[in-house]
Amino acid sequence: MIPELGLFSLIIALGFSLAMSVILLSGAMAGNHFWISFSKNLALGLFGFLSISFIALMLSFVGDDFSVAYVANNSNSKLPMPLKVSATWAGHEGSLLLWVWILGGWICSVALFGAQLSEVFKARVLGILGMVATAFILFTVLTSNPFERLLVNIPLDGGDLNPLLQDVGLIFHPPLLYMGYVGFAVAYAFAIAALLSGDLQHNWTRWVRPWTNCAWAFLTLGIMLGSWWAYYELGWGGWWFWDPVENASFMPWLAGTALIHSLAVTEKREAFRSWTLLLAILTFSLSLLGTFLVRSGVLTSVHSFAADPERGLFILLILGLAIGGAFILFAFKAPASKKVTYELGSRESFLLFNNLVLMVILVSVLMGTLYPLVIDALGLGKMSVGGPFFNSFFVPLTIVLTILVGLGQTTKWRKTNWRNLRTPLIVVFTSCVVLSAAIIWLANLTFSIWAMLGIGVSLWVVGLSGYEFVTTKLKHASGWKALVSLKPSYIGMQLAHLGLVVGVIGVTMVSLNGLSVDKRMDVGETVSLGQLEFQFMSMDRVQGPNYISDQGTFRVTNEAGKELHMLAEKRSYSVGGQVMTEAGIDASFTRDLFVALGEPLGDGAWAVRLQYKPFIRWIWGGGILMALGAVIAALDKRYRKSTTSQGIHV
Amino acid sequence: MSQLWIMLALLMGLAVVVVCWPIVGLYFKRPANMPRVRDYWLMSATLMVFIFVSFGLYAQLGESEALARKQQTDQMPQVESLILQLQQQVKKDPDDSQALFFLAKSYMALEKYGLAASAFDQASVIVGPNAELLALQAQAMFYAQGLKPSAQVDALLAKSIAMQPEQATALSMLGFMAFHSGDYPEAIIQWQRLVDTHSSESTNDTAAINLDLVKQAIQDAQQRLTKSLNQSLAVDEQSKAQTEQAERRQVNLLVTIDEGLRALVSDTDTIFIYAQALTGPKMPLAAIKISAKELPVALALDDSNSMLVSNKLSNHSNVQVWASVNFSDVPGLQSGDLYGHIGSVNTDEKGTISLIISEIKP
Repeated sequence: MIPELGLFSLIIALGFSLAMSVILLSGAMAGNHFWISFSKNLALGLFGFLSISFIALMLSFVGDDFSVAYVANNSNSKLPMPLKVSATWAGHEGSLLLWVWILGGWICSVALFGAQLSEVFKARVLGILGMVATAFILFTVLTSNPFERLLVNIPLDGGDLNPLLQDVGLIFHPPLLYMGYVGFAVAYAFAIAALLSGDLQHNWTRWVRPWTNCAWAFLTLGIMLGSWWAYYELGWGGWWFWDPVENASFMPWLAGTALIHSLAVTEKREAFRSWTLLLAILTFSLSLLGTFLVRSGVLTSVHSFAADPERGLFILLILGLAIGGAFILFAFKAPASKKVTYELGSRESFLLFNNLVLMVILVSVLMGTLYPLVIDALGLGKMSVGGPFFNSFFVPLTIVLTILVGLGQTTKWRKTNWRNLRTPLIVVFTSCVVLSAAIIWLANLTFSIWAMLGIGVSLWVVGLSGYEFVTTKLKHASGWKALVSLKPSYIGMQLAHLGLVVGVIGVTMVSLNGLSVDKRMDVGETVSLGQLEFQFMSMDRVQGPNYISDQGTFRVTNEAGKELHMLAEKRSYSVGGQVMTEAGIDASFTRDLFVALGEPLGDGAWAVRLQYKPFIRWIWGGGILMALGAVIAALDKRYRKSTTSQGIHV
Repeated sequence: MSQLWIMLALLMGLAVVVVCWPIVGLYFKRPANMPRVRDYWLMSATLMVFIFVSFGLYAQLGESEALARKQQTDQMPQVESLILQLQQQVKKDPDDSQALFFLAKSYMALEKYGLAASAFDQASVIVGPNAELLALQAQAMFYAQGLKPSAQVDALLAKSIAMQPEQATALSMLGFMAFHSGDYPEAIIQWQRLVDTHSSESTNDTAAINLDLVKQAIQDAQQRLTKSLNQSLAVDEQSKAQTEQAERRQVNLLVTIDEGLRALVSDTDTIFIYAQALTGPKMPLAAIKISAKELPVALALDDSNSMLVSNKLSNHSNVQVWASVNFSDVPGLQSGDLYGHIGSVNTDEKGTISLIISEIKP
């Protein structure tokens, strides 16, 4: 009965979202306060019934209800309980339900915590969000119903969860990613509401900034978690593959990063208003594109898209309405450019350059991701665009971006006095060159121009941030007073930029100084990697809850003679028969040691991959710092000030 | 199942409460600008549409009916639940011959032979004359009639065999009916045909017939046949022996006359010596007439002296014997006649019994 209640709740939620879009938008248009007064209840009802539906699906997994086709396909009675719960969103249908549930959560948050917004404007925003929710719930109910039943031949047990996804990474990766994707819907709804109201003179950007920051923070964490999961679960120690699925989440992140910076300019200076609106639309459009590129199966094969024309058509329809409709609205109602003056060397310019660089990266990634699909769809053969292509533009552009970050936060709004800046810039630049060379030499790293650049630009941002802090914040107050008086938006910005620096250092170190070797190893054999010695101690058969594992024990000795033991596994899952590599990883602040078992080579010998990965944790640490920065910035008091007095009259 | 609908109604009720809550608030707050009546009408209409569309969509997408059927069938044994599903299918589509076929088979499994026969009949009406269906119908009817053959069953089987001489069910049935009536040779013939025509190939209908079982049945029939032949032989021999034994039955007598009565008898007087059944008619079973001068005499009473074809001495294991001097020269003792009598003599005993004429009929 639980699945039936879940389906009915989803249908009721559809009614709520439809009512939201019709009642609230028409109420806002007619200025009818009676209709608008339903906004909070409709939002609560939408989220409440989506929650019931989501919980019903989860309970079906927990209770092994294999009469539900989706449960039968993605779970198994032997699966450990936390994985049964996470299996709820392991497949297409469940992840769509998660998507709409999270959207419901965002909508509810806007309704409950958007007290500073005027009722009419809020109703408009909620109406737009209601339309997005309607489209997605309708898509879920009509083409991807997670509660579809198998009542005639109920399987005795499920087909099991893909072993790749039987991991803690999966439990949090998709929800975080979706929190990000869906969160950008709020910025999108604000932009459309502003366009619809036609009153773009008012600074709507202030209200949307905290929402965008939060969405971006979630997306950042989601991407980081995905990268971490790929690193330890896929078995070969890579942390970013430029895989189309990864790119699908990276593109909205790039657009979102540009949006965050553009919003800052629009809020502070009322410049880039059209551009910011466009970015808000673009970011959510890319989130939609990303979701559907992954979920429709178009990325694994162009033909699987055509295999389910109903879903494909529906997706195109939603994309067409959401993106096409928004751009048409933008074309007709975009605000005429307001004369806002700023000089070439001002902070506005550097943020504009930042947006420009991010857009170049975005377009290149989009091309690299979609080009093989287009080639395949046109029947012109199969091709894959891999790491070398993406790195060829991403690495230099990121260095440019990092240089701009340093300059951007040092310069002033409207006009920068470059005469005052000249000396500090020369000093910081020279220090960066000297220090990076010293670090490379002292740490015994391989010298290369990229190592110099990577470390150099990181020091550049740190140096200039420090200079900026000393000259502006410490100018009026001293020591701890200056620290206490720092606004969350400032702290957030600095943290996020520090996160970028930490990430760049991590990427530079692991790419240029990492070591890796693939060897055939017999039990008892020792292999050297740099100054490390890996000894293959033993191989044991271990029984897991739903798998049998060949577990290799390795003893690693470092140059100081210190020993540690690592376990690397090759798991064979009983239900599906899949074989999975579980790498042995010894993590620390400055390096990871990584041991992965390949194939058994007979006579007790195994193919083994041994890796030394310096500073790899910094990549994810950088991501966490960025996300933390975004959240802290969102907590700034000025975003919570009521603006109804100043009024949004629509 | 009503439980599900109650839960769905509760969910809908909750939804309506959530939607309508602001109206309740308005009622208590009574703000200056109360909504217009038209708004209430629109609100009610929207709610109605909301409720109807939700239930309508659920009726389309939900599995409440299938779930109800499942819950119903979960409580039944497997075949019965299958029958229920098939009945619903046939009700939905009366021309679904396959569902009818499986329904009939399920009826057979539940020994509802009458229903099975009628379902097979319906199926053959839909698909036209079909050897297998006819045979199965015959089988169902035969069972429905309590394993009694009938002209209708014979006709159905004959039609089936005419359409398809090696039809497995028909051959199996012909064998079984013969076996049941004790006609083992016929049963063996029909079953052997079944084995011969189906052992080399795997046709659809042999899939339902286990040839090993048929072979076992043939062996069984052969054993029974042998046994019955042996039995009938044994019966013949027994009756022959009995006849011979019976034919050997006789009573050996040594007839003498008491010396005291000897003087009363002249040599020309007739003496009747005869055997009578212990009960029943007095008519002698065997009798010999001699003259008194022959006394004492040893003689045997047997079937050669029998008076009647229908009632011979050999028919009796015990008889009573008489020897009488009839002075009046007519059968039957008259007053003054002399006689001797033994109440019971075993005719199977070969020894000579002494019969003394020592009495005078008073």
